[in-house]
Amino acid sequence: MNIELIINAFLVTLMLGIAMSLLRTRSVIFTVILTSAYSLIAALMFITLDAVDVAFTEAAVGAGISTILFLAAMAYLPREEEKRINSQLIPALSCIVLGAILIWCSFDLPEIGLASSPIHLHLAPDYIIGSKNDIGIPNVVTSILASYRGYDTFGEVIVIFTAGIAVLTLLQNVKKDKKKIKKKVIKNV
Amino acid sequence: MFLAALIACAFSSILILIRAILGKTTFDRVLALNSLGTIIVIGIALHGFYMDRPEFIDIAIVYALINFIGTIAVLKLFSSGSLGSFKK
Repeated sequence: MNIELIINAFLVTLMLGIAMSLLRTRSVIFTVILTSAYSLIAALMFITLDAVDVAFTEAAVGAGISTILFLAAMAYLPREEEKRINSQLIPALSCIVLGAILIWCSFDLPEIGLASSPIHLHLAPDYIIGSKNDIGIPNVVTSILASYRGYDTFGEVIVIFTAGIAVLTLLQNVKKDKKKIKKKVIKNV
Repeated sequence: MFLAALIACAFSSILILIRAILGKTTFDRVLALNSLGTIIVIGIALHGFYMDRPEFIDIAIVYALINFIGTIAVLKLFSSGSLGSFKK
């Protein structure tokens, strides 16, 4: 039997178990911990699907940074969630219907890894054949991100940089003594 | 041999998840998360060798670092009550 299929099925089962226990818990710290575990397993699944760069991002952002951000926000929150009063029947029903529709649609998708599926026929051959001569980087993904779509990447970097500066400016502690800041600056220099 | 090790990893990850879900104290859960991270690091390395692509082992090392940072963050939150210097 196909070993990769077994590994994927096992990982999906683990993720399902984590999601079910996430539904039941009311403790905030437990939710954060379980979300982090979920991201780790998702990253392992991306590796079995050969999407190593996505797995890298999932591990760094999903399991690493967002866990720490959740924890930092958690310091200002109560330890327990409040108990829900409303009925959960309608949300559960809509989720089940949406999932059924998505599964039904997935029967029309081409097989995973099929070379003749539409997404591999449009631009991908040009990139794969041309990137060695056009740009000279052996890694196709890097050449697409850094050169073919260089302006896109540049714009993204500018947006994220501006957002970072804005957040830092907003969160700065404005009540600090100016003398202290001067002293710190002198020390740092 | 790699397959046997992968099966052992799968079995231990199930045990760890049971401990994380049933865990009585939060520290049980933190420890379970840390162990799960370690198991996943081993799993990535084993999967790479089993599929004849051992280049992924550096990714496993990055995972180990991230796992360490996450555990440190949780424990720091417990010992000091906050993560940054915003505490008044």
